[in-house]
Amino acid sequence: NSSAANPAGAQVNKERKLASAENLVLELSNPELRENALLELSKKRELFQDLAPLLWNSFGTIAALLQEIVSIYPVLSPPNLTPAQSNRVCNALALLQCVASHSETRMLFLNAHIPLYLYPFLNTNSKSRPFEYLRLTSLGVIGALVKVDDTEVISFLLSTEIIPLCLRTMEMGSELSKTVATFIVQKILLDDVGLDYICTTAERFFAVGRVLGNMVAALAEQQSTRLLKHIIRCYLRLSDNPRACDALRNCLPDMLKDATFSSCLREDPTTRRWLQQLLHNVGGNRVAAFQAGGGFDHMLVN
Amino acid sequence: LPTGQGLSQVPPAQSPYSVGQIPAPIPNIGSHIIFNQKLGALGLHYFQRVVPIAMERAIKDIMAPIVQRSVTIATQTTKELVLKDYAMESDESRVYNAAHLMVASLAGSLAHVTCKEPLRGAITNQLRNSFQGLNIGTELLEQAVPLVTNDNLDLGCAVIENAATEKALQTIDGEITQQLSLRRKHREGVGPYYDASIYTQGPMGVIPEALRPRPGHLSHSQQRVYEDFVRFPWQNQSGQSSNAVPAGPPAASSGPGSSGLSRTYASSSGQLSPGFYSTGTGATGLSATQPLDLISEDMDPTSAQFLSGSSSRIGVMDG
Repeated sequence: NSSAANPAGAQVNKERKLASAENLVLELSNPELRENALLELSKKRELFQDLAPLLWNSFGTIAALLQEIVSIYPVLSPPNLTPAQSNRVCNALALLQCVASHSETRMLFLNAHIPLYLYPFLNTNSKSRPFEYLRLTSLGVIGALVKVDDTEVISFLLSTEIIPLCLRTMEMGSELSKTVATFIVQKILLDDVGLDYICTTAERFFAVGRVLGNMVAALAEQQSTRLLKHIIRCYLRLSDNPRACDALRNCLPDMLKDATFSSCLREDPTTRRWLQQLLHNVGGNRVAAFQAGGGFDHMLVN
Repeated sequence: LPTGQGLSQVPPAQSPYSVGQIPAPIPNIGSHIIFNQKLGALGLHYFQRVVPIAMERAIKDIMAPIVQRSVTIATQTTKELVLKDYAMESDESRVYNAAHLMVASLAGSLAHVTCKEPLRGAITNQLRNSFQGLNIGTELLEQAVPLVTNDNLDLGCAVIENAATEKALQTIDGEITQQLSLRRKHREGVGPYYDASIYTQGPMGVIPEALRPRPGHLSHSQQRVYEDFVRFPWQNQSGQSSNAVPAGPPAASSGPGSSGLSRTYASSSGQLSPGFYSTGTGATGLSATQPLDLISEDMDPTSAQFLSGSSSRIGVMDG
């Protein structure tokens, strides 16, 4: 194709991009052309303005992307996902991430319950590369949803039980997917609805606390500043809840109190400040928790 | 590769049990149970009596909430997408048909993928319970239980998948009828069978002609997207399981089921040759000229498309 080799002026280029995007979206609905269209569109999706409304409003495109998703359900268990299958479905997920990110399509995307079709991908156990890509890309879609700080989004995700799926990845994922999963939990916690949800029962709080603690212990072996940052932000936010703050007096890892991570945080003043605030909150007096009606220990006894 | 092979080896019509043939909720399951020869060799002939009961109980233990959840999700998705895509369709039977195909496939797929691990646990539990009173050595039991579970797990999944499909088909019409009757009234009152303002303004207005649902009838390729939901994903399983259960087409769907069979749709190896596109639109040419903003941090990606995906994923973290 000669036009590809000779990029013209910006305007021509822009028009060509648009025409190209439209053609590729059209090709998505053709099973014979779909694999290549998925690849090309997901590669270039940042270049196409308003790709998300085009994907959503064009006939059958979302239906076709859903077919891509459910078509690999059979290879999830026992784990038989090939790298080619993983790449292909990840390209479809990248387009859905586009739809999840765009303000015009985000609520339509939620209202059609599309994120729920990704949940089986977060429920996998295999650590092989194709599964790890799939997990990471799926988390990317959820991450795009929570990034906008919308209570409605948070409520949707909580009601569909995203938290156990995030905790699962935080326990067994790669460093990168752990980081994205922790980021999602952080964003949920930063919303009042999310903090209440986690702190409503002792079981939920301790499930989150245990996973965060395990990650801290693992980080002592293999440090990751960006993961540690999100973990500390989660703890700090939990300490805003009196009962959770009280429980953290006992279960906050000692490694966050000593010098284990001081070199790791040397270049990150924000996280250092968060950690100081966290230690201050947790080190404060216990009056607040009792005023709030007793801590988690009391709830567990019941 | 898994697609074609699986289908040619086990045509739905000749399969021992296809989803469409099993009446919900639980069929005469005993006749479908696989009795592994090894059990006979282990002296466990009476398993033939016990296993069907354990299977039925295991399915009952977990089925209801999984079917309910799958049907709820699939119904909502189908309602939103079909009503959107068929906004300009005047023939209601086409709308219902598309909705049936989609909801059956989505509900069945969700139920199947969701039930597999819980069902494995439930079958194991029920088998252990069944043998508790009997005098079987622990060692023998530890051999037999996984054997029976693995042999019959797909059967149980097919039963649950079918139950979800059936229920979804019963549910979907009620979800879209009201909206369709509103459209009908609008047609009868106003004259044109579609709302012209929806078509030219609003979100549809920005969509190029070729990509929009058209007033009147849809193009063949447009319609085909929904027909493709008759693809029975669980038939595409490669031969990893000796008795993969082929899920038949949903009984109530009236789509051209055969159209899905010849496709390379689910094939993972379908890397099309560049020549295939040479008569196309020139869309493929762009890739060479557009450097991608690839931010990969410490990823070690082997493929460009993953890289491009990861840039925005990592971008997520900055918020």
